[in-house]
Amino acid sequence: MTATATEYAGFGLGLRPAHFHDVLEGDHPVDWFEVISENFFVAGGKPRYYLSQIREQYPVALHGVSLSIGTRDPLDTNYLSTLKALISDVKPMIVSDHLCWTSSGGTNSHDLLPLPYTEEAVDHLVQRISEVQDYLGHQITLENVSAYVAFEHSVLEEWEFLNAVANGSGCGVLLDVNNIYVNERNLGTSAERFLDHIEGKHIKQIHVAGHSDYGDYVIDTHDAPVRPEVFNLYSKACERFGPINAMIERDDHIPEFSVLVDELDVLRRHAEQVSGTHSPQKNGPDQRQSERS
Amino acid sequence: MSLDHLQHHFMGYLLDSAQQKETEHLEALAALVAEHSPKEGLQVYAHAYSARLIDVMRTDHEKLSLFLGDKEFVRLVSAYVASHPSQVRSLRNYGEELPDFLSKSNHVEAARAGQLCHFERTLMDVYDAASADQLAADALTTLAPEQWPSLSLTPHLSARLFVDNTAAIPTWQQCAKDSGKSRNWPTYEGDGEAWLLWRDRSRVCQFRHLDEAERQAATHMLFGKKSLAETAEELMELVDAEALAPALHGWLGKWLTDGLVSEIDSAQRA
Repeated sequence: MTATATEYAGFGLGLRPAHFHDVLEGDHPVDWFEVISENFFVAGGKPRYYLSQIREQYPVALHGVSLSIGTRDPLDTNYLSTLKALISDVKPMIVSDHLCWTSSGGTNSHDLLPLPYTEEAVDHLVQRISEVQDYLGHQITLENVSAYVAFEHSVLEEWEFLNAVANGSGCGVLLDVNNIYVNERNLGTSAERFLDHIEGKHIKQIHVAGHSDYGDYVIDTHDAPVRPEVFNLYSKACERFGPINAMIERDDHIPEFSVLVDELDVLRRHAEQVSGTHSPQKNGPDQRQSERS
Repeated sequence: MSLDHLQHHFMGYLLDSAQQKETEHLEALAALVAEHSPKEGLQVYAHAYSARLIDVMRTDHEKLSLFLGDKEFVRLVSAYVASHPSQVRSLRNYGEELPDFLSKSNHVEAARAGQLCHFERTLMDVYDAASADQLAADALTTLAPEQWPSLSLTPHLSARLFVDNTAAIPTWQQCAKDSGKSRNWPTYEGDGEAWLLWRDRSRVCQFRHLDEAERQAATHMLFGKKSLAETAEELMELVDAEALAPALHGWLGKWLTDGLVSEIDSAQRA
């Protein structure tokens, strides 16, 4: 499977259950929503009801946390078949997960664990991603993760690693600018160098999120407003890559929906100031509906 | 250094940390970590492993944590995390063995804690159950008299019968009412009380207590696939003959009204 063009949808938010009613009860300046795939793996019930209602009004991206693409364990076909059924139902604009591993030896860490940037890891990932994309019949997009350790035997820089994996497998890249910042602080990498060298043709989506600063190191907590230094990095990404689907992620200490909408407006203004990027022409319900066909 | 080697020792290190022990995994992993990494780096992952699982249990079992108190909740759930490496993809399923673990724990109210936990997990199952038809309250009006004896029901996929031996549900209700501030917990004597749980037409989780007669009726007819005639026979010792038909009619009507019935069937149906 080769890379596919992803239509520009504008500025989105991570959809959280606390906001289901808010989203459905008003007209909001949000162009699309991203949902955590695994939260909707039960085929029916309340979560899927709300997702189908929201999907009728907005484009939706699926974002997973458990694919564990980098593990040496065999692929989990039960997981993949469930994801495939969800893709068929939702018809998402993007299907993403993380460039990491989460499980080993059948045990799950429920964390996004770092990979060494080695040729062995690239080869392993290219093969696994190709198998997953063939199984799903859909391109997957993988996010650069935050890390708290680097490995002595890494021979590539993170951006080289991402480029090699994307070029080899045809997957997309979900650029998390907060994670680039976190890694710069924790591991001494250069965020600007990352943005200068990551190949823009692979980038399908951008995440912007908050983190917690502990002085000597920072943790990618997604529980606080986006910090100015991360917005600045986002502006640089806009300068370099132009209009790319971008969104605010908040996973903990979830505020009122209106607070996130306001923060999304800040994100939008950063993009407009730098590259003249706007939300796409506002779709009416009929046009949005047609995106499903 | 191979990916297999790294992942084996990294996962081993996380599981060791949950058990607060150090083995060869730490030494092997530390040898792979670059010097410029933050000195707290590995600890961040170790802390996150246990903290994430405990947080999920706290979110999924809010009333249980109020009943136990936070300190005791963390003690017990930490022990669960240490002894139960996660074998599940979804965090939603991580606590599946927690009710049994708690009921066998050394907590002074172990049995009640286990059932309270089981009740909260049953509510999660009700919430997540797949969608299915919910027949209208008047679904039986077209049934001919000769079809009634062979009438049988298929319950909605969210419907559950919960037998509470430890006043776990009244305890849950008390925690919901006063956030667990009153520590004067409801008493129990050992005879199980039956409760019906389901997701209503507005997709809200509901539960209500059943008296003994409705419990038997629900056990046989709603969950046991028995016909109306067979259910009536099972109830003859429990309900007066004169009251039996109106009682069955009343329960059927209530189950339909509540959205508990997905299908009706009758062997006599034309």
